[in-house]
Amino acid sequence: MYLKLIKWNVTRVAVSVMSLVFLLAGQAFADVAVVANKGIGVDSITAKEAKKVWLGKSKSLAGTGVKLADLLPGNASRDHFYSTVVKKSEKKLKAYWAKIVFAGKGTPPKAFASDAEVISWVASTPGAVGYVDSAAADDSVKVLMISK
Amino acid sequence: MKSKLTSIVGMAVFGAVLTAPALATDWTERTNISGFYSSRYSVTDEEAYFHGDRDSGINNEGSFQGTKLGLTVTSQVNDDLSVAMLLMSADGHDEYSTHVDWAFASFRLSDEFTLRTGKLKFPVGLVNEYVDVGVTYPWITAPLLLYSEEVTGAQATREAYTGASLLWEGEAGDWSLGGDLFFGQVDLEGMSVKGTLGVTARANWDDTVELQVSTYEGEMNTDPAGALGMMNEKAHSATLLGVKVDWNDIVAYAETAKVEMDVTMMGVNPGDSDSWYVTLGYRMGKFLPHITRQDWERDNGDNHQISTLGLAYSLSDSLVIKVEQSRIDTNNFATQPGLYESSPSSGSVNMTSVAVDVIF
Repeated sequence: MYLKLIKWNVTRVAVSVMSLVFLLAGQAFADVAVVANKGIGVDSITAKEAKKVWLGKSKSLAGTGVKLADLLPGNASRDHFYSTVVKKSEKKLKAYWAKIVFAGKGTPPKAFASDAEVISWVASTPGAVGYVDSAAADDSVKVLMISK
Repeated sequence: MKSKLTSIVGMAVFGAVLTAPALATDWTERTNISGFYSSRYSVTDEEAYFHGDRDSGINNEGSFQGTKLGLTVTSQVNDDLSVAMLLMSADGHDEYSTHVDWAFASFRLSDEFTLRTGKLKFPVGLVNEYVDVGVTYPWITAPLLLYSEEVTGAQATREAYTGASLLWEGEAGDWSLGGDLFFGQVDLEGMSVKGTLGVTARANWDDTVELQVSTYEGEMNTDPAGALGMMNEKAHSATLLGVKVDWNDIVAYAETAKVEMDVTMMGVNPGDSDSWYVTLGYRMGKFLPHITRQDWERDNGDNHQISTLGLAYSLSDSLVIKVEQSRIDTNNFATQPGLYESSPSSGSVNMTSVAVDVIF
């Protein structure tokens, strides 16, 4: 009887722990979608192109100027985007922009607080591109790339 | 000159806004304002003023030289045109009077080429384009023996020039490449360097390794009857080479400059000099201890060697506290004071400095 109860409890704890692990893993590794205004003249973007655009080294896609949306530091999608696509830590990113801004050579992308704000701004701004949690991308924008 | 430049920039921005009325409504969205602030204090164990005069130099009574506040304003007029300026107030600069440190317009010709015109930061030296922003480097002050703007210093880097610059950006494999072809006039107190033509080439591997080489030449213009008359219409040229490494927790800088002025006095060229420095640091969490060795020698015998032990503590990415202890060595100091206003009483002087650097 006691053995059965212990076995049942162990199974319950194991299932709970595994669920928590999958839940956390799901949050940490949620796919990020690069989204664009529907009027933009491209249907896809490579990680290399995205890196150049978000570092301010390229200001156009398919010959048309782009307007960039970013997410504020601390956002999980931002962490995922910069670590997998741009491949820069937050510290190196800040140092990179400080040198550009204080030399008058550019400004960092406009930063929003949430996926919903990015989607809303990108959908209503011609030439706008941004990135969001892929689950947040809806029909109002065009998905150019998914980063896993 | 400064008020004239401010007026020109003001008119340019006003004109651009007038010619683009559709953009005027979202002016705040297209304009970025960033700032920096540095508070510094240095004291030596020597009475003679180092790196400046009675008003701004550092001696045993202490100095706040280097304390400053700056605001960078960048406005995107349209997709291809932007205007940027830096307003700065600094200790030792006309009693903190605010001045335009640089102000220029950038025209994006393509993703690779940008043309800039106006008063531009001198693009020579690894950190010169943001030399006033302490948060961007480990030292309290960029190594003086190469970066000093004092008349008695190396004169390798300059604060700014008025003219034009053609920027190029490219890539080769994992390397980002850049070039800056610049032409213009450097205005200094009592003289100017006209027709300065130079080029800077850069290579950057993922912000881990940076290489930079620069060379430029211009013609000095002074009052032929004045104290600097012998420099009039003489050439001033320099070549600089620098490397920076920021790999894992290792931070290293090394830079060298060779300056030549075509001025001969009693068989020597007092304006000619060689300078270099090496910095090595190791990041330990929020702490960055570092050591620097600087060397500078002029053709006339003026020379210094500075050894510095420093510690930078980052409270955040925007706020850094720094402490440094330096020893300034001078040979032939009785006759060749170098960066001192007058000859020091000893060939070896100790200097202690503390600073707070902020960006916002």
